Amino acid sequence: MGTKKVILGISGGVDSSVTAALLQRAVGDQLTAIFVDHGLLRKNEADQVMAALADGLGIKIVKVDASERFLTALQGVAEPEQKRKIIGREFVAVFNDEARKLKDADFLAQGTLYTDVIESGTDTAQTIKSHHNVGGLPKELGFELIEPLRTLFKDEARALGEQLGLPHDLVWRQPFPGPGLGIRVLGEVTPEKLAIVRESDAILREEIKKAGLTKDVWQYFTVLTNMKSVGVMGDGRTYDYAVGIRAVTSIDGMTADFAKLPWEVLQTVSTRIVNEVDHVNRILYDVTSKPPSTIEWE
Amino acid sequence: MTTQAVDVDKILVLDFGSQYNQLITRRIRELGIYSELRSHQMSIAEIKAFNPKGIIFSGGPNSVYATDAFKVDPAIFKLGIPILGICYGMQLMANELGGTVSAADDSEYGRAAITVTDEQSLLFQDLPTTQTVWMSHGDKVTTVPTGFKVIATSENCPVAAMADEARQFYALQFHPEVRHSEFGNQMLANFAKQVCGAQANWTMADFIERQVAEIREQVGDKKSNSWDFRRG
Repeated sequence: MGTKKVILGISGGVDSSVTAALLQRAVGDQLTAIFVDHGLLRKNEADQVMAALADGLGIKIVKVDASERFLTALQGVAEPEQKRKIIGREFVAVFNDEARKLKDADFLAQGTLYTDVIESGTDTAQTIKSHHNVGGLPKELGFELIEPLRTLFKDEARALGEQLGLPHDLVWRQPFPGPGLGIRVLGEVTPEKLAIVRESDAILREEIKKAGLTKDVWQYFTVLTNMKSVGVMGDGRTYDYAVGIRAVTSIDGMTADFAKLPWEVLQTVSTRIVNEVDHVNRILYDVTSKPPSTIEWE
Repeated sequence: MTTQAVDVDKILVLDFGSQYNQLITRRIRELGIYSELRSHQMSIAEIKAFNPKGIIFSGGPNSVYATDAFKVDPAIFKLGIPILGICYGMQLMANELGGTVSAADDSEYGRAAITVTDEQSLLFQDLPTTQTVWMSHGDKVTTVPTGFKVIATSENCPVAAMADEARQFYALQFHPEVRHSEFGNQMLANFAKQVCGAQANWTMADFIERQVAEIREQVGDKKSNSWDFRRG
């Protein structure tokens, strides 16, 4: 093997993790992964990814905590597409800063999937949501691009990851958008709001797991609405946020029904979130299907 | 776009804009057969280079009579490669080969019962004579092109499926790729395996081996940026 260097930006998601594992298999130490932690990951997710890739597979990883930078860039921005664009743009900027420090890298790898390639523009399809995986990076830096997953669908990439030795729980975890929790806080993103959605989401996931429902539900998460309403806790009036629960069943994500979660599970989740997460006094359950809604709220 | 999997059997899906276009590709891959979705503008030379065992035309929102309707190079019908047209793909095939397509009196959306009228057809091999399918169309084929026969029919759609078995052209007015078509997967499997003779030889282990080789070749051959820079 040669001495040329390959760099790869990892976000904590399945696609970039699988790309890292495949490249490690192909070029070993010639790969350096740059983990841009944007602070918009779910609870414990960054640690899980580091454990699997760095400790588990021995991949060389430079981890950058960029949460402050992302939060600053998102300050005062409420419009969903704009938030997505800013998160994508900052990811590129942070990555570029780190990539420059590595000097003589020749290749840039990306976890682009087939669906990203198709949805980002064919002759017939229109762009529904912008994907921050496609385009942007190589042109600015003059790297040659490696996109080893670009012919694979998501479930195929998952199967690939498992075959490459990534933990089952990591590769088969539920879909998570690139902009992360940034689009699960509706409207402006603040550290307080992120904490609410992160903690409430962890409770929901814990209870779904406890109830043995992880296989029956395609995707489940909480959303922080930007709506406050009146409640009463103890003997005092509260004026706090409402958290939305989204849980859907689906075969392929293209169409989806809201999941008929047992009332007891919803009750436990509701009680726990209101009691354990500050500034929440109301829980809503999303009962729309896709279409006409989408699975994510933004 | 890089094309990997040179030595595996491939089914090419040409995109005419259907919301289900990705599903067709997925269903074929679920059979263990490699498939790619490409633009309907793919040239004949590119198709030859891709070397598919069979071609599928996806559905699409157009009418074949619309001025901006998506077309194919008619030379595609001379390649000797089996073709399956789905919905718009069927109307396009009929129109290009001399049949007639007309606006239906009523658009048809949702479940429909079809009756297979040619039980010998490879497409319907081992499938029941009556079955439920998913329809979603405005136009329909009213006269099949020369060489074709009707192989399935439904109440609202006399030509629900047609075939020219000599040239290995098949077409379905309904969407086999949608799960509501109860035997749709088997029809796609019959097309890929029985008609096209494609082998299910695409596996993840092969994929890893090929990608690792490809990445090593790409990374190994690269001249360094600094060298290029000095030279430039």
